[in-house]
Amino acid sequence: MGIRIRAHKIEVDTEKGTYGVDLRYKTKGLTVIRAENSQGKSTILNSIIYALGMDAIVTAKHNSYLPFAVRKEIDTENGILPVLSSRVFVEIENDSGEIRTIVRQIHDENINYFKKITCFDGPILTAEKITSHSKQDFHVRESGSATQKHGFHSWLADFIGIELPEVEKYQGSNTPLYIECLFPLYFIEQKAGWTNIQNTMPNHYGIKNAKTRALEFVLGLDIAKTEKQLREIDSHISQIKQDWANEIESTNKLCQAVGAIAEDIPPTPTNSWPPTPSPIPVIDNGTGEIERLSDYIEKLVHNLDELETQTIPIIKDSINSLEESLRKKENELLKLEATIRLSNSLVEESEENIALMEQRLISIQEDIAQTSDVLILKRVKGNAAEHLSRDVCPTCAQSYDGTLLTQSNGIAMTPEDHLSLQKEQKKTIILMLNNEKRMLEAKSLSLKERRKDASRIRNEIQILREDLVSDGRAPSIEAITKRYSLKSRIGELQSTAKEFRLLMARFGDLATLYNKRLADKKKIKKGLSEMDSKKLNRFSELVREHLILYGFKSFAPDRLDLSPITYHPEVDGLDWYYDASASDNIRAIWAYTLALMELSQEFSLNHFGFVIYDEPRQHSAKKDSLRSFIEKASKIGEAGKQVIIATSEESVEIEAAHKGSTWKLINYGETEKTLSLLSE
Amino acid sequence: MNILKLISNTKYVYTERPTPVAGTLRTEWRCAIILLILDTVCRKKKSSLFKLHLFNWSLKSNDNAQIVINILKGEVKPYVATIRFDPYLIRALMYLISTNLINRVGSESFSLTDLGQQIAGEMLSDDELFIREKYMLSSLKAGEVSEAHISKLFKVGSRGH
Repeated sequence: MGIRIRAHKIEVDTEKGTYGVDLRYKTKGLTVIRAENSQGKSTILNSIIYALGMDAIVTAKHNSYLPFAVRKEIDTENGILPVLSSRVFVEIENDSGEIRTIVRQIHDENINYFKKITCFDGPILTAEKITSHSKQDFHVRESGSATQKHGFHSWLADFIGIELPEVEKYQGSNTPLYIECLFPLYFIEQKAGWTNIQNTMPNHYGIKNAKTRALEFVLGLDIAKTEKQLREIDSHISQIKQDWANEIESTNKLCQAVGAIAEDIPPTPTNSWPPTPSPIPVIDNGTGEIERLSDYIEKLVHNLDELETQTIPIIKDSINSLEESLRKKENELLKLEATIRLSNSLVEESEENIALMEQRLISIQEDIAQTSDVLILKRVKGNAAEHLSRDVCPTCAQSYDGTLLTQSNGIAMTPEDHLSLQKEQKKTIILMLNNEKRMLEAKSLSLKERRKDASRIRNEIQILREDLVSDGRAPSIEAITKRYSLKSRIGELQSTAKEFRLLMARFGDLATLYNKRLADKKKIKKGLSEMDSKKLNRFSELVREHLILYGFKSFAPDRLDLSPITYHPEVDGLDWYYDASASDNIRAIWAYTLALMELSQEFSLNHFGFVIYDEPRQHSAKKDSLRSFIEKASKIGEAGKQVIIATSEESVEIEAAHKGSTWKLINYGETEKTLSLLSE
Repeated sequence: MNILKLISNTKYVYTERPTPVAGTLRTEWRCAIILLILDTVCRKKKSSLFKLHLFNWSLKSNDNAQIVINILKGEVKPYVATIRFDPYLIRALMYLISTNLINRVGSESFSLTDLGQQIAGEMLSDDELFIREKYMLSSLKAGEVSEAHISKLFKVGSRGH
């Protein structure tokens, strides 16, 4: 787990040849780059960050933080020359010894897309012989760079050998902890890097407590896992709540089918089941009064028994009442049929709307797929993008907007904007479609009910007519049918009551599961594990050791401890850096970042194994502090880690410190530019 | 309040808003599709203008694709659909000629250049790109997409067939 920077090259093409630097770093140990201020130290170090696509820790904009010399004009011994194109190469190695060379364009007059990183499979800069290597293109600093197959940062995480944890965003959703969020611990930038620990944390990702999350990950604390477990349990609990709501819905449906209502079902899972009052089905008994379903069934059974004791009447005796009923039923049927015609046309209208919207949805989805292809093409597909996606017409060299339409149609929307517009439209259509579907369901349901009613009445009319035209001495079919339908209604209600009991058992299961998860949640020990505390104690010990070594003066270092919440140093429970002197600020950042790396030798951490320091322009730490810092860094480095320091300390001083030591010194003379002529 | 006065005293500023353009009308999409057609369903990477029009129309939507597949497989007659001859196809072809990705052969045929073939190959091997389009093109057999077969199917008066 980890990476080292083996070599690094900047190429700046001008009309008078290629300028740049070509450096080798110690992969196990310390490399010091010494140059006067404004000779281009930061150019060198920032370009490493740029090549790794970590520019987010410096700026939200494109390459603007890289100096003029690599993107506009370069000051050379041949005078000031305009930059035609420029790029940076970085050769990296991971712990398994795999070597890759990555290239990123900084400036090019002919292209304006710099979010592409090309990765060569092997050492390009340090290879003795030139051999060909397979290459792959990635995109960076775009949505998906950290998650998609072609995203550079998802590749980089694989290469380093880490799996980034899921963390919570301010809006509540989860996101992987972006690799850029770890870099403020590995790269101390010249300007913002020295104000505070992890000061260059990019905040546009909206990650909640990003600094703490990053430290927890780098320190490999168990507390991060505990938090994850808690989140998992929470999501299971909300799943149970969802299932509960679904069961309520099916219970309601079951009851509604026979005209009953389920009463007293708690809307959310309960601690014990059955709850009091326990849920029961109730029903309108036909007179507008609500009654328990079981009581109602009993009553119907009683009615049926009573009917069965009576003899079936013969037609002759009831001819008047039969005629009266027939007239009533016929009227009822006429009204009902009119309503059916109306609801039928409503259903048809609804179906037509749905068909239209579905068609529109399909065409939007197709357009989204096609526009996405355009974007993928533009993004990383080397040759294809270069030839198919141009800003100027290949024939007349005038600028054009990338569409086949006549150019007088106004400005064309960029594919990115078009895609987000279509996605919004898709959302709207889906919303409308679901709404319409729900309405259709309701309409069809009521139509179905009406039709059922109509057919029942028709049946009754037929029976009445049959009775009226048949032999006066025959038994009344109407009376027989009445008994029969009462019997079948009883059967229907009884099976509903049985089904209802089964559903209640399911609620019981869910309640048990819910209580179990709640108990699990309580069992998880919140806070730091034993190992966590051990690590953090040793960490603060190391920070104190380093502080003493570098001559920290603002407080007695033994008053300093690590905050159990932010893991940053604090004095008597308070932030220290407001009160510390500027030079002590620098010492504290040296101490914290270097101690973190030293800690990774004693414990298993997720540390990448390198730190880069770009010394502040107005550095104010004393010479002997810097000297002890360099010695310490070199010592930690020799044990297998990489440290790169850029400084403007006087040449003589550095040379003196370097005498007899093992670290590597790259020293630029007082008037020597870091970017020099590489080839004519 | 005098509304008329208020309105006439107000300065108006008009900003031109960009108009949405469908994916199929973007140069990258259309040109990429033409390269794929020439590379996958054309013998010697060469095609007549009519065949390009036919496949160009077929790749615009799933429905179109299904119709063309059915026609070429002989399952339905060509007159079931109106195949649109899209004028933008010509623009895309012009673009491809001037970027040296295709050549014009004779009066009505076009063929891939080496560079065009290379790009088509890259796009074919990328499994994130043009998934649906590549599937459609690969679901046809060589005989079903030959120029002779197509011109026989679409010959005027071939209704009886």
